[in-house]
Amino acid sequence: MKRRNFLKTGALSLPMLMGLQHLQAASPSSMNWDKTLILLELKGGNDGLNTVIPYADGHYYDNRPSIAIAENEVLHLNDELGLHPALADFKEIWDEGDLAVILGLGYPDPNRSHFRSIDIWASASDSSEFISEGWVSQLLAREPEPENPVWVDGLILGDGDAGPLNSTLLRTLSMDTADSFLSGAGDVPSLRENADLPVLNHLIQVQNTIFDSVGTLQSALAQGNEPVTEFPNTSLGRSFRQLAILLANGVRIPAVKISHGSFDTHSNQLGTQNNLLSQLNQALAAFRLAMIEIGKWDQVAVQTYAEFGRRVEGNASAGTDHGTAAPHFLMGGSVRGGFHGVQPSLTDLDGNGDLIFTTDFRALYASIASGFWKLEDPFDNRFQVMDLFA
Amino acid sequence: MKRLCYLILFLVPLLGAMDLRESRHLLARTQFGATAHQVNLFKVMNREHAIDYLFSATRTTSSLDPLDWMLERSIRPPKPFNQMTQEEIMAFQTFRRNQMRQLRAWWMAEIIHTDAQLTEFMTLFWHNHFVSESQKVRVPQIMYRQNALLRKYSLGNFGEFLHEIAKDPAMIIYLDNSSNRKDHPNENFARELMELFTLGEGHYTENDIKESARAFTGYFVNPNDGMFAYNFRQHDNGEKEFLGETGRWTGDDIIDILLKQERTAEFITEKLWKVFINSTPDRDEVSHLAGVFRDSGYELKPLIRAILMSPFFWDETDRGSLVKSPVELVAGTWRSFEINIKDPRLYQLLANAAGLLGQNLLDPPNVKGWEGGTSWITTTTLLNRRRVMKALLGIDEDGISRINYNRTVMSMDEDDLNQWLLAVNSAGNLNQDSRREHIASIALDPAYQVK
Repeated sequence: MKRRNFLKTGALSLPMLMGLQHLQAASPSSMNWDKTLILLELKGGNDGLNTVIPYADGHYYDNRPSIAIAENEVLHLNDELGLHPALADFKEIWDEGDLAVILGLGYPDPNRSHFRSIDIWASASDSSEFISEGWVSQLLAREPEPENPVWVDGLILGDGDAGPLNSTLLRTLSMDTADSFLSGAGDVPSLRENADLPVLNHLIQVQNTIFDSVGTLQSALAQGNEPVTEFPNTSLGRSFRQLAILLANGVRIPAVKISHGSFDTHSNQLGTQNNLLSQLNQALAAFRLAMIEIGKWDQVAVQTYAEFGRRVEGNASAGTDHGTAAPHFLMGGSVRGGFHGVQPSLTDLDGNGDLIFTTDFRALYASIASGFWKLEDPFDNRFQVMDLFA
Repeated sequence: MKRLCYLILFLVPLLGAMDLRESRHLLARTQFGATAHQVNLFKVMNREHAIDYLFSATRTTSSLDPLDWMLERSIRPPKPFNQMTQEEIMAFQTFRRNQMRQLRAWWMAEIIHTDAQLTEFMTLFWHNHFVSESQKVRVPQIMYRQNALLRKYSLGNFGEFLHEIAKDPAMIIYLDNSSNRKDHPNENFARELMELFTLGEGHYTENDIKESARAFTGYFVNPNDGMFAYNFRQHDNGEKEFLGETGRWTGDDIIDILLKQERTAEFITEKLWKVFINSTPDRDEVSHLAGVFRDSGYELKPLIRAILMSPFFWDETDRGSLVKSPVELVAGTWRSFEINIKDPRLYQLLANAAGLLGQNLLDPPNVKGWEGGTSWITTTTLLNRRRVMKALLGIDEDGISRINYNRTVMSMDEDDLNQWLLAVNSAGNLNQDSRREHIASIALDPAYQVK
């Protein structure tokens, strides 16, 4: 069962060079393959200021007369910042110490195009670089295969693209549910690759990935374990429930990508964001309980991200336009809860009137790589690792 | 002497005639599938003749009549929303969603039945370029009118098209341009106009976006008839600096300036290259083609003709380098095999099948549209493509396709069958024991997914 595919055509690219690592004399890897990182994309760019709210700062209310959240509705986390009222369970998880909030995440020379900026976040590139391999794939490709192979390197649950798991080397699989996957996959044959026809070859590789992953999945699910915890019947809830079932049956997946949205609230933000954050709140609360139930809460971590936050000033349609920095959540049994980083200033803004980031998002990634997966020198130590894990 | 003349007249079109493979290639890249008969018909023509033939069948209006509700002038609900009960509001919204579904099915029917295949191919292309999503626009008549606009200009003048689409009500709603007001500009439309519709990233600044947003202030949609309206009081008629030019620009002025940029012709040419040829446009050839486009005054027919005559289009190593989009797969398969099922729900089912595969007509995933190419293929979608093929061709558990096929299909030579249906050799072994197993194994082979 080949985990990696060294395509024989064309020039070697950086990720492929990194992938050659496993051919070197076995250098002991520190990677912990039993853990699962869930990358939760808040598609469209969630408005950070209405999520982690600077309720004690008058400028917040001055800039957003029609959409600011009233102070008495904010769930206070400390005497300056609090959560959107829809995140009631997050507040409880915060009190339990399992929720970290990383403030002011962004990057130099920010791009305000959805497509460009989400590529930057997915690939951990600089603003002017174009890298197609996802940041998680880049890291995993460097590591030698574990003795006991994982089921797949990356799983994309539900809609949404591979993002951080985008890879030409690693085995990634996308599915809506295990049932729908297996019911179609039974008669899929494996095929020989054809390096002369790269587009057809992509299809062949996808087909082979299906073929390779069916057996392991079927055996695991035959055990029939299912957490008792109830999940909300939303698209997000169903994806997390499916993941919980996979983990409850011992399926090993280092990274999972799930999408939620759309948070692109150019108009009528209050209703939309409240809805989406409620769904987020309920799905993650259920997931946490299910993981505690099966004893895996310490082995999972959920990290949110998005292409950007939104502008400080509201627009004329009771919404906000594309901005820059935003806070994100990191939740898990081994997470060191609390605030990390510095809240950006609402007055000292950039030339466009947007927030200036205070923590490079790649520092968050590096911190996860080293603190959660126990990888050494992630991203060549270019970013400051934060103490996010116990 | 007479015989010689007849012989010459007979032979002349055969000079430079395409072969079966080239004929299939041309049709696969410009239509939604093709019957074996059509592929045979085209192969006696030379390339230029064949392309002329394709252009002779184009239209600017649909071949199918619109449904009555599509032509209604008024878009007002039966009574004002604020006078409706919750139940009445929900019933009305359900009513509108049903109409949207009918529009989707109607368009699928047009794609399948029209002889003007290149027109629908391009209409779909423009839907993916000047994106609007029905779930945001919500008014079915407005989405129908945009669809008609896309068809009208599908092979027309791009400059005129750009002016019209900026005032198209579906576009105004989708990109929040009706919330773009003098004292509070909304940049959404201006940004996408440059980033996605004309220049592409890197050819303008944030300031250009801000300034041009001001030029588009005052546009709104009349709530009674859903038509474009202009509120001069909301229009910011101050001086604006845009791409180095200063003046009291209106939206039309901004578009004129964008049409003066060399980059615009290149941007559109690159996009068309990626739907007709492959994913790696050749810089020099694009430059040449963009020149043709510009010199013609932004007429699309000369550009597309030049693309189809380009040696890059005919390069044999590029066969199979494009992935069939879900609509191409579903409608193309239906048309190629001339599947004959008369069921009023048919077009809805076919549209739903395309939606299952990731392409829900009238609802691209976001303003950038469907990315296309290999992004159509994930483990989920590949499994679903197999499911859809099994459903369309009635393939049973024994790998036999059970639907009716016409005599041509049943009796044609095995090699001809492969040449007709496949751009490249199959990836797996084909079961050629019987015609019905042969077709089934082609349909389930990854090679059938590329063109």
